[in-house]
Order: sequence, then C-alpha cells, then structure tokens
Amino acid sequence: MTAMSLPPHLGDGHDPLAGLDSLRQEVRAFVAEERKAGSITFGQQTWTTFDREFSRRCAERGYIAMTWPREHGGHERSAAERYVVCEELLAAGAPLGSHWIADRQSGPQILRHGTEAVRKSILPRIAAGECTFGIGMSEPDSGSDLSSIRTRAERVDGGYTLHGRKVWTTNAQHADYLIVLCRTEQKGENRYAGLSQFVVPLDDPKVSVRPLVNLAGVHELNEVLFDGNFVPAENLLGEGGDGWKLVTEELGFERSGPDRILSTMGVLTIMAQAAGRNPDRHDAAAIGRLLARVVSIRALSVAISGRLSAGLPVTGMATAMKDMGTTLEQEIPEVARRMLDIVPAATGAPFEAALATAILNAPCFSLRGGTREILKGIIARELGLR
Amino acid sequence: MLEETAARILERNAQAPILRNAILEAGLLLALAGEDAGGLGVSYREASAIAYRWGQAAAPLPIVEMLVAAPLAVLAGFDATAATYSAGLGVNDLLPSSVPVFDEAQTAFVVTLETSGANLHTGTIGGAAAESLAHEPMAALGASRKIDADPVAVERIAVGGILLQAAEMLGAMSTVIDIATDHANTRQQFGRPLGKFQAIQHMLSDAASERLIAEAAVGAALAGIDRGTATRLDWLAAKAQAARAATVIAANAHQVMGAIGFTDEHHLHRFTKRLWAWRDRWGAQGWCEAEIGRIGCAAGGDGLWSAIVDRAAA
Ligand SMILES: Cc1cc2nc3c(=O)[nH]c(=O)nc-3n(C[C@H](O)[C@H](O)[C@H](O)COP(=O)(O)OP(=O)(O)OC[C@H]3O[C@@H](n4cnc5c(N)ncnc54)[C@H](O)[C@@H]3O)c2cc1C
Repeated sequence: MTAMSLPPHLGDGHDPLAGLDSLRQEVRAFVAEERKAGSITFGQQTWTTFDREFSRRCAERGYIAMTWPREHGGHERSAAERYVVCEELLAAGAPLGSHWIADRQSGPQILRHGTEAVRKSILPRIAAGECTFGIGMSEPDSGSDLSSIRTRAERVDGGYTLHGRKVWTTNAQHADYLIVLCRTEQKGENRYAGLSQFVVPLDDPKVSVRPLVNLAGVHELNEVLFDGNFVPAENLLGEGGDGWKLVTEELGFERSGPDRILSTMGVLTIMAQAAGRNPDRHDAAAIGRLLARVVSIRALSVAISGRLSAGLPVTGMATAMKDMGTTLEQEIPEVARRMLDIVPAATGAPFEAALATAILNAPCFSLRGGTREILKGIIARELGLR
Repeated sequence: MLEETAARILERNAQAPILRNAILEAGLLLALAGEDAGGLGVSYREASAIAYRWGQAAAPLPIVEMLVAAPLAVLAGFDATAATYSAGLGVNDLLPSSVPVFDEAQTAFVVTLETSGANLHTGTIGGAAAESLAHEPMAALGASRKIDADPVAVERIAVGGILLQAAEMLGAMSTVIDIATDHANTRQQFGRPLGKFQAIQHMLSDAASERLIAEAAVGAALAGIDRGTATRLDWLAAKAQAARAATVIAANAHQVMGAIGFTDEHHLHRFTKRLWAWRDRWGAQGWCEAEIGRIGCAAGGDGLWSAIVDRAAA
C-alpha cells in the first residue's frame, strides 16, 4: 500500500511550479512560431502524431531529456521545469510522437537500468530528437494480462535472439528501438518471474513491422514480428528476470503526466469561445463543471510530480490521476457535442476537425497505458481491498 | 501542533458547550485572528487541520463559521475573544437567510461576494430556522447592517471560509471511505468479503480517486491564498470538486454498506448527511460551477489556458 490521500494540512504548501513563468512564455513563443509555420495545426493532431523535424526543433531548445544528466545529452533541469514545458506543448496540441515515448519512459528506463554502453550510444540521440522509441508490451493474447506474454529471448553467444509478436505498438513504423518485454525463462509457478526487458533495434531484416490502421483511418499502431533477430547482451535492462518490476516502474512514468488530462483541451477552448463572453447559465455551468475538473485533476498531477522529484511513492496516486484524467478527456467532447452547433468532420474546418478528432480518439484514452478497469483494480489494492 | 490539539480535544467526545470552552481555552477558536487581537494568526492551510479533524469526527459546533468569524469580528471592530459569533456567505448580493449556530452565538458576520471583492455585514442571531440536512441547529439572520471594511480583506476571509468548509468535507470523506472500506473487508456474502467483488472495488476506487483530486485542489487553493497567488478559478474549482467528490463518495459508500448504512443506528449517516449539507454551504456547487464557466468564457478560447495555469508572482 502506498499513500492514497493528501490532506492539505499535511502538505508543505509549496507550489512546485512557482517561478517558472519565463519558461512558460518561452515555450509559448516557440508554439506561436510553430503554429505560424504550420507544424502545429489546431485540432488535427494528437500527441502521438509523428513529426521528426518538430522533435528536432524541440531538442534544439532543450525541451527533450530536460532532467537527464548532461553526460547523456540531458539538461539537468528540474522535474517542475519539464512539467511546464510538457503541459504547454500538450495544451497547444503539438505533434510529440517522434520523441514523446522516449522522453517520457524509454529514456528514463535506460537511464536507470541500462548498461553504460547503451546509455552512451542511445540517450544523446534521444536528447537530440533523433531517435524514436516504441513500447513493446502488448501481444495478441496478452493485453491487460501482461505477464502472460509469450515473446521469448533465447540466450546465444554474446546476447539473445528474439521470437514472437507484439501488437498495438504505437509509431513502431518510425521507431528506431522498442523496449520489449519478453520471457527469458519458462513460465513457472510465479507468473511474474522470468521476464526481462530489452532495448531492441528495429533496423534488422529479422524484424518486420506491419500497419494496424485505427478506426480514424490513421496508421499509428503496428504489429511487430521478431523472427530470431539478435540482441546484444548489453541491451538487457536490469538484471535479467526482473522484467516485471521494471515494466511496473515504466508504467508509473507512463501514467502520471499531463498527457492524461489534456488530450481534448482544444475542444474545451472551442466551447469557451463558442459560448461567448457572457454565456447563459446553462452553458456556463456545463463549461464550469469541466473546467473545475481540469483545474483539480491538474492540481493532483502537479502534486504527484512534486512527490516524484522528492522520491516519494506515487503508484496509487498516479493510477487515480490517469483514471480520472482520461475520463475527463472523454467527457469534454461529449459535453461539447450537446452544447455546440458544430457538425464534427475530420477533414472540415478547425473546430469541426478538432471535435471529430476528439470523438474518434476518445475510446483509446481509457485503454492505452492500462485500461480503466485495470487501473481501478490497482487503486483498490492500494486501498487495502482484495 | 493545531492538529494534535484539535485531535486531543475531540477525543473526549464532549457536548457542544464543553467542547466550545475547550477550544476557546486552547486558542483554536481564535486561530485565524491576528496576534494583536488575541489570536494565533496562523495560515489558512494550518487552520484547515482543525476543520479537517472536525469533519473527520462529525463533531458538534459549526467550526468553519466559528473559525472564520474571528478575523471578521476583528475587521468589524468587535472583540474577537468573546467568541460568540457565527458567520455565513451570500452570493449575488443576497444575504443567506440563516446561519449555523451554537448556544452562545449572538452575532453573525455575513459576507456577500461580488465579482471582485466582498461586502461585510453583521446581523443579530434571530429565531431558530429549519435545521440543515445534517440536523445542525440554524438560526435566522436578524437585523443586519453593512460594515465599512476593506473589500479585499473581507474577500480573503470569505475565501478562507469556502476552503475551510472544503477541508471539513475532506475530513468527513476520509471517515466515510474508511467505514466503507472496512465494511468491504469484513462483511461476507457468497462466502467471501464484499471487497473481493470487482464492482465493489471499483466503487471504492472511484471514491478514493475523487477524494484525492479534491485534496489536491483544496491544498493548492489553500496554499495559494496564504501566498496571495490563488485565483478565483482556483478556489471555486476547489469547492466545486469537494462537492463533486462528496457526492460520489457518499453515494458509493451507501451502496457498499447496503441496508445497514441506511439506518439511524449506524453512524455512516452522521458523515454523509454532513457532506450533503456542506456541498451547498460556503458556495453552493451549482453557483461555483456557473461562476467557473463564466471565468472561462470571459477568458475566451485564446485566454483559457492562461487562466488555468498563469499565476501572479507571490
Ligand atoms: C491507441 C492505443 C495505443 C497503444 N499503444 C501501445 C503501445 O505502444 N505498446 C503496447 O505494448 N501496447 C499498446 N496499446 C495496448 C494497450 O496497452 C492494451 O490495449 C491494453 O493493455 C488492453 O489490452 P487489450 O486491448 O488486449 O484488451 P483486454 O485486456 O482483452 O481487455 C478488454 C476489456 O476487458 C477488460 N478486462 C480485462 N481484464 C480484466 C479484468 N481482470 N477485470 C475486469 N476487466 C478486465 C478491459 O478493461 C477491457 O475493457 C495501445 C492501445 C491503444 C488503444
């Protein structure tokens, strides 16, 4: 059990984001430039949209690998500074797909558990916006029940060979590497034992990537087949056999950030715009309910980020934040469609496209990164149930 | 320190008059009055510990009103140490028709919130009014008059009242969650504890998540008013979220408890009824939400994000 409650009087009253206004303004100026140049187009992108050039420009400004050590290409800035940059880019609807996964989870995972060789060769490239990562967890027969995966790594001279299949791998068609969870030992009594994580290069003829087009007609998801590709021993993360612990940690990074609140922020701004400066009580209340939620869930997300940098446990809190945040992301377009006289259309004008993008993507918010039901189960365990 | 003192006093389970004497003697009642007025001059975040503990224990006495009345009395030129004051909040220029009271209460300080700033009124405590959903004694507001006071200072105290009410709700929520969780782990049906059923787990998970969000929002707003950086959006959102959380938590707890929780004998209702009553005290949920929406719309599409995240320097 970790903490699931933060009574206000027990906190330190400190605002982790105080004093970062000039950084915010700097990011906003960058966003304004990018909007002008057409790389951020309102309502038609999501944070998984791939744009390598955009990521390179983020890197030039030091917006990737912000908290990592300098020797690995990082900028040694605080978690709060990273939080501010991320939430500004997310709120603007920027296309972060080329670096987001690497910056959010794969890089930190390598930093903590990678060999020196892998850290040296990969981390600076992530920091430069030159290197895309994907998450190799899910398989055709293993979704929520992740520990049942069957992809296996066989020990060979100098490393391992991989055999198996991953699915739903976001942006694998662009990725340089996946962090792959696989079995390094036969499944025994303890289903969580004998799993390991590897940094797997995709530039290999024995790896094939096939598209899985989503319901919006967009190709971001993939199936990845491993047919005996060689992975050097130095690409193992951790000790080997401790993959379950590692993957749980990785999911912690994946669940606590502002990307789990802000996916449909653009639609909320449309609502505020459309209702006009003097809304009637009905519109005001509808918008107010959502806005209260954004402010409150963001307060939790900020508090969690403060705890993360203080080394305090966040598992239960981050899980709660993702569950409630993604529900809010789904609620926003739902309320919008009842309030606005806009017909959603993916290829229409900006407002129409934004609403369409939100509606078409909404189902995945409570699936990716752990489904709503799985999250609630984790929270229940944190509460001491089960 | 305040929290331990409050906890120690509450442990005795005293009736209202004795309880009042105890917190008066311990200085808690004057926590928010300045030291020059005989108070402790603590921050709102520190004072929230008292309200939280009160809510957690469902203790008698309208503690939020009593705490906030002290600095309002000072502003109005009254002797705060008399501690015979209640308080209340009105919106849209309307005074509330009644305020929560205790035996010794003689005067009420009532704030009406304006779009910016606030007005202070004092009124006599009139005859008994209809008791609240939680059976709290209420009294009608008698003859009242407007006091000439700094609207910014008045608003700050009123906002403190809103957030202390939210903190008291958080305390009650925590007890409700404890009661329901304990029940889920001990009550058996179909040969196993209720907590083994996923539907039950999910209801309690939602309850805990709502509380956590409310705690974070109230915590940020309290710290913000102490620093002078909180926006209207911050404290309205905190109270709206406390109300929303209270609603989900009370409903889910009653569902988990089954019929026993619907009885007068079981103590759950002492907490859930308070949550239902407080949801609309010191800023009714519907008013908070509409106000928040107005702030968002006034900011417009271009200004909305800034309204959410930008804060004046401390
Ligand atoms: C847009 C998107 C991007 C993704 N990107 C990636 C990625 O990059 N890499 C990656 O590895 N994976 C990715 N995923 C996969 C994602 O992690 C899985 O979809 C998720 O873990 C659920 O697995 P599943 O789809 O097999 O559903 P299942 O596990 O089969 O679940 C189906 C339904 O049953 C429910 N269910 C399952 N088990 C239980 C239980 N014990 N109790 C109650 N209900 C249960 C689930 O909550 C869900 O509602 C992505 C998914 C989406 C939609």
